Parts: sequence; C-alpha cells; structure tokens
Amino acid sequence: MTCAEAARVMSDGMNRPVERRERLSLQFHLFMCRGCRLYRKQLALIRRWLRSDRLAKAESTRQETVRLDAEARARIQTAIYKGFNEGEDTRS
Amino acid sequence: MSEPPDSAPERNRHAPERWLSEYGDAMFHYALARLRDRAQAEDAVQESLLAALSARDTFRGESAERTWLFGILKHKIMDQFRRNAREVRIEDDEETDALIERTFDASGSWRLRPATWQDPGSDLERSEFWAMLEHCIGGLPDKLADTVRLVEIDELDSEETCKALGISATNLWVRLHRARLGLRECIERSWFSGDRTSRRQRS
Repeated sequence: MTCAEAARVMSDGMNRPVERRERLSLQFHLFMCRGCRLYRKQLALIRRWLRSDRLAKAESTRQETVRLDAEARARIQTAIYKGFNEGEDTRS
Repeated sequence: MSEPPDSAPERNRHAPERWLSEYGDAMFHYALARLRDRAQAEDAVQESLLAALSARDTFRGESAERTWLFGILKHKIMDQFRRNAREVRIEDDEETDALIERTFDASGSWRLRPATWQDPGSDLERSEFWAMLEHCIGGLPDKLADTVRLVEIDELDSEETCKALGISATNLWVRLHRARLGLRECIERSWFSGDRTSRRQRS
C-alpha cells in the first residue's frame, strides 16, 4: 500500500466501514509510515474542527459581510406577512 | 385573540414578525455559503420562513428557535441542491488532479511529509483560526466544498448527500478524500507553517 492509497482508505474509513483486507494493509502501512500516522492525526483534528460549534458560530457572526439586500428583505417580509395573515384567517 | 400579551416569561413564544430581522442575515449567509447564488439563497430563506410559519404550531420549543429555523433551512438548501444537480458531473478535473500530484509523487509517497500539528489550544479561541478554516473550505473547488459542508459540517448522512448532489457513493468518497487533502494542505500552509524546521529537513 502506498501513502496515496493509505490516505484514501483513512478518509473512506471516516465515513463508512472499509474492507477487512484494506484495513489490515492500512494498519501495516501506518506501522511503517510516520507521514501517514501524522496525516491520520490531522484528519481527526480536521473533523473535530469542522464539527465544532465554533465554526458554525464564526460563520454566523460574520454576517456583516453578507447581508440580505433591502429588496430581498422587503420581498421576504411581504411574503411572511401574507403567510401570517392567511394562517390567522384559517385559524379563526 | 386568546394568547396573553407579550411578557418576559413568554419570550419563547414565536414571533414570526421578528424572525427576518433576527435571523435573516445569518440564514442568508448560511444559505449563500452553500448555494453560492444570491437568488437561490434568498429563496431558501423565504421558503424556510414560510415553512416555519405554517409549522409553528408543531414546534414544541424543545430546541431553540434559531436551531429550529436553521434545521428547516438545511432542508430547503438540500431541496435546492437536488434541483441543481441535473447531471452527474465528471469527477476528475484539472484542479483536483493537480492537488493529488502536488501531494504525492509518482510512487504514491508524500512529497512533503505531513507536519505535526501541535494542538492549537488557545488558538481555538481566536476568531482568526476559524476564519482561516472557513477560508480553506471556501478555497476548495466548489464541488468539494459543497460536499465537505454537507457531510462534515452539517453532518448529513451519506445517502442524503448523494441524493442532494446527484452523485454515486463512490464519487462521494472520492470527493471527501480530495477535500480532506485540500483542507490539510491549506490549514498546514496557513496555520502551522511557522518554525517548522523538521519539514525543511525532509530528504
């Protein structure tokens, strides 16, 4: 198994079970290869960071860069009022 | 009107009229990061708010209002992805081929051995770290960025993701693999490339 293959199997293994033979080859490769052991650690860190609440928070607090423009906002507001009133009508 | 007047303990009661002002920009930002099309992102926000409006009686208040709205938004974004995925795209393109070639030599070994990433520790408190991560995700080829957002950030299951993107499971694994190689390259270059003498000594 080459490093390129090992990297692929490690990635696959994060989202699905991998075949026994691949798994064993990977274990052997990892035993021999420091680069791939380091990559394995990097993969785990990347997953942890991507799934962190803080990434989501960072994404949503930087809203000032991306905003609904006035026209879209007005259009959506109108749609909501309309939907709201229709809902109220059918309720009573 | 049977509901009591607004008061502090009643703050959890839905107030659809302030959804847009409170969450509109955040929802739009979230949708735009995924759909990369202003009009589609606006539509996703509008559809989500309308869906929330008609479903607000079923909301049990078990999750925060914000979480609930974003949950609806995720589904609307998936619907849009599904509409966009008209044909299965060819998976190999120059950009990702170049990434593989940059990373591994002809014999399949690392050209540059991955570095030891010291646990960033308190770096994680810095907004620069997360901005860097966002920048690295955004720097991936679009379809890789889409895939990584759906699977790793939004934690959608692979079947749903394949359906939304109109790709096979095999393509999904290939994309994730490439996305991870791309991310690690970018993160290493952007954050861990300071005094890394061990890397310069590579044979």
